Amino acid sequence: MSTAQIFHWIQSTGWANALRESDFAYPVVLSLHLCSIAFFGVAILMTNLRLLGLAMPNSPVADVVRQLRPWKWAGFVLIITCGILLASAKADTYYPNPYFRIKLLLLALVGVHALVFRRSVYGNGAAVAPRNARIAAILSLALWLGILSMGRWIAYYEKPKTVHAVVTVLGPSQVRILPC
Amino acid sequence: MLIYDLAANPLNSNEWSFPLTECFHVASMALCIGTIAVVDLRLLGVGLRNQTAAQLVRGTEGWTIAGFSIVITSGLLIFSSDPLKYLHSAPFQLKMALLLLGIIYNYTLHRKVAQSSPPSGFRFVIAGFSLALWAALVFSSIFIAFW
Repeated sequence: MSTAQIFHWIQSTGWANALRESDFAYPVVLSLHLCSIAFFGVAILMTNLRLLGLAMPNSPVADVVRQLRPWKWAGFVLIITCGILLASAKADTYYPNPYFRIKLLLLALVGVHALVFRRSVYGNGAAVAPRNARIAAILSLALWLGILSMGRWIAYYEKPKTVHAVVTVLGPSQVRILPC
Repeated sequence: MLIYDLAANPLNSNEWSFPLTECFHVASMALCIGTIAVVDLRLLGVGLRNQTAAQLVRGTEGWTIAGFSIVITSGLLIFSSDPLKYLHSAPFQLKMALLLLGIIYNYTLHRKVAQSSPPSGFRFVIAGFSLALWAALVFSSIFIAFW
């Protein structure tokens, strides 16, 4: 089974069909996706802004980072759940969409970022930000802004027009039409 | 007579300016609503509990203002791409009413309760209403495209 076929199968499942065809459910899930970004995405933002010293400078770094952690995870789960629902409803068109692919790549990089900086920056119990915190925070903000932007751009991708036949001229009298 | 040629608007004349403006709009929306939600969740007793709501207001208010400035500026740009479409859209009208109410509410009642010491008994109602109002604004925004 190719990846394209897997995406097609996802789109043809009952709930993906129902979500795509409903006038109401799709925008509701999309709204929930955005509400989660606003209400919970801010935990990622505040964590990084605190590491950079740009928000709540009077509270210790470790205190802010630790308190925001469960909230960050709750947000992540909510945002991803809504995102999977939205992508499933239109899986056939999402699969070839380059912005969707970049978005997935950036999400994978978020995972790499977490593995690299988890212990030294985000799990560090120190009251002041460790030295590489600035790099970690800037990278995290850049990755998430990229993910957000790609999310918006997904809607603007137009699949190149399908070419129905290619005509090749092999010689003076040989014309072949190759369906594709 | 004022003639406004939609096609001359840079947002309508190239491929990337409109989605780029939307990215600014969404990110700054998350910034202003999110920083307000930080305070709301604290009033409800979750989130940053080691800080008081008043401390959180002080720690986030600059970012809330920055968020509002960018979200309104980018919103006006998006509006300019097709003013009549938006003016005649019921979800857009609701959105503008909620925005006006939300801004007034945030800088009067909400702020007063968040900064009150000892914590006001109304804080749950105030925070719940705030979260519901901003969530309703997000819903009305999405429904502009689906109405």
